[in-house]
Amino acid sequence: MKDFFKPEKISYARYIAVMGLLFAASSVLNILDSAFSAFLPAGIRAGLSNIVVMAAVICINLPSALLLTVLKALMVLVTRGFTAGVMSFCGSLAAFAVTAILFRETNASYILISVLGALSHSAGQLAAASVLMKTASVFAYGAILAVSSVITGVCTGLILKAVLPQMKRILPAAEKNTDASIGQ
Amino acid sequence: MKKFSEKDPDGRKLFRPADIIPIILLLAAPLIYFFAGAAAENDGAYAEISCGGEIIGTVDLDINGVYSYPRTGEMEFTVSDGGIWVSKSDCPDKICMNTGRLCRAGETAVCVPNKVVVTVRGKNGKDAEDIDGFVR
Repeated sequence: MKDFFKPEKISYARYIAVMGLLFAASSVLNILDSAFSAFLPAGIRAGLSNIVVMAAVICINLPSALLLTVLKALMVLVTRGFTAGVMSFCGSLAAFAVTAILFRETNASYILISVLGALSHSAGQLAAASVLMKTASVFAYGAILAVSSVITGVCTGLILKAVLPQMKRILPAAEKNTDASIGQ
Repeated sequence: MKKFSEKDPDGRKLFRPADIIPIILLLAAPLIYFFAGAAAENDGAYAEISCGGEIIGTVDLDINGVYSYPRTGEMEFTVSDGGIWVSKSDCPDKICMNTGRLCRAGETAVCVPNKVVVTVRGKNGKDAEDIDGFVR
């Protein structure tokens, strides 16, 4: 149980350093997302911070990726308030689930995983917003978010593919199935 | 850029030709929705402003002015030339303001932190349920 998060073949020091790096990267990318969204219409965000969670799903393991998702949402909760925190958590959790299932169970391409991850992020956020507001009118934003998911998903997929070799270099021992210990 | 089409060690590709199908579907569905709405050209007659699921005010889009309500705090709604937009809000992300001007029946702007929804309605008042409801 004590190795629930850490893959077996990585030392604790390396694991802590990598997770710290990833969390820092996701926080910075989140700020970048907010900066870009000021120029984009109707609440579209580039979803750059989602790359970190996708990279963790692919290069580390599912518990670590889930941990980063929760930390990311807590960061949003602290910096951008309750509503944004809840919406970020629901969106990221949906994106994490879809990314994890597609990556582990299918041979889907990186771009498809990324696009569907972005789409599920939007869907999760709209679902959270409709519960918070007790109205379905937020789904009026669904059409524009579907189009933006494709565009941002293709971009994040390309970036993900570009950073994966670097991720694998800082995690030399990590392999595709190091998370075999999930059930323990 | 040969590198991008190469297979990963685990056999996963960056992009597969079949991926174009879900991508086109995702792009096409909202565009059809959008053009169906644009073709209908259903001008709005009034706007409903609701807070926490309750309608707190209706605004005639033919009467220009700036509206605010006690329950929506700092928020201001501006009506001009048959359109309405959220012109001021104290929410952090300003998504309601970024949504821009609403003038066709069914168009909606939402402010989640303030639990405020602005919906434009047509003359018969049921256009929000029609297929041509959309957000620009």
